[in-house]
Amino acid sequence: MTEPIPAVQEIVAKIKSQGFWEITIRPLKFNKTRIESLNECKLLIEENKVRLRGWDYPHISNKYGVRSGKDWVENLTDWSDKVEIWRMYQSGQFVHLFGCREDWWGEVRIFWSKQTYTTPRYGLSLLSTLYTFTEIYEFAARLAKRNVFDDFLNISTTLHGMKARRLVTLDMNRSLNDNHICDIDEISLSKTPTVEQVIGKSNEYAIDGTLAVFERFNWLNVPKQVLEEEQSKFLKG
Amino acid sequence: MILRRGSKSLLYNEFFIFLAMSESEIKTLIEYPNEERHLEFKRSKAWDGDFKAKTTKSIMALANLRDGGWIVIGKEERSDRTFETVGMTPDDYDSFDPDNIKAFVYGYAKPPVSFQVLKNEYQGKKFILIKVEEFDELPIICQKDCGEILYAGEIYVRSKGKPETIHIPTEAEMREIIENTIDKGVRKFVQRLQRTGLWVSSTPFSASDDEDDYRRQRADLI
Repeated sequence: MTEPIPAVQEIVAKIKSQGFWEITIRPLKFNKTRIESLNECKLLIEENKVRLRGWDYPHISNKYGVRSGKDWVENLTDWSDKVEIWRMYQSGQFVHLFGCREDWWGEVRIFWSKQTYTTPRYGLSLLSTLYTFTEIYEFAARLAKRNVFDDFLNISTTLHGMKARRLVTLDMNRSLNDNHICDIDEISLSKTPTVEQVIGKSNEYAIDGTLAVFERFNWLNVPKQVLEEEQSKFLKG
Repeated sequence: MILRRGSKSLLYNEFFIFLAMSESEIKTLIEYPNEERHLEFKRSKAWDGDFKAKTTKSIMALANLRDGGWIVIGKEERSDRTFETVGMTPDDYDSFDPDNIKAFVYGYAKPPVSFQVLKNEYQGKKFILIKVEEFDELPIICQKDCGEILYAGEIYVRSKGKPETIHIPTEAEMREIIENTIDKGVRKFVQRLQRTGLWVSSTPFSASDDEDDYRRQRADLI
């Protein structure tokens, strides 16, 4: 650990300064000590995180290490375009805030022209959204298999800072269509499946979540099959 | 160029999405400062001699890890154990032929391990990236000896303690592989039951949700 650990509120403020994702995955019944120890909370994350691309979900940064609080463990990341904080409570509640990476890419050059622009609040990456939902639901399914929940769990996803943002491809090299622009600032989705459902259908739920977000970007006829194919490629590496 | 709606546009767009995805992912991997369990760095070397066996061992170990992992060749370790992004020499880089690499690895790994070899130039430097997929149904076992590096019957893993490739060192790594194999089987079974409509959840939905308690718990964060 070579650098001083930033204050949690400092990271949270940085995340919230641009668009960000807010994720909670939790049981329905509140039991403050559902998970026996903080070390168990840490192991749950370490052993069930999802690594389907270069960056895992949730990411555990070695830079600041996993820190413990009253009844939770947490980890901060502030590296490159990744600004994140997650917390795993002994109650079984997982909370994750992370900045829209698209907003931290700095200046982007459009490859087919000499034009450059700064990226904050410009776009939401189409495939990255699909991948993120896939990771979230896969992570929830893995926790479900570890008996973190009872019969049901709640998965809530909120995207903040979406107003006037458009759907773009990764790296924002091209816009899908100028009409795919969001008119609302917050997109909130919540699902309460059984543990068996999330284990068996996590990929379908991820597609549903992605479609719901795209619809709020005024894209109502999203070809579901294309998303399914992309998700399948993503899952197979 | 703005893409319009319609299947033709979407197919066209997918191609660019693929390119962009790779660039974004590659940047993160190459610039990452330290090794992780799923990420192994190697210095520039030609695809030759012991390096072939050592890389094969790493590929098998990553395939036995949940979600697989990556090998990045072209990173030099510093004295403080962080890694410098130096790239590969042109001769070393040119020695990597994806078909030859696959042929060599397939000779040792059983069942066959799935991986891709990507030759990449990043900021004027050359890198080889090997993306390894997690095993499909059964863990990968080495099927024949190679010098003093690979041994028939061994299962290689990435250690839980520190990022290194070794044969299974403790019961924890063995249990991890077994659990992962069982998980895959269970999941496929549940999915099959749900697809065929044979799965009926026996638990009635309970409206009881202590949402307020959870909201209070996370109030200082959100």
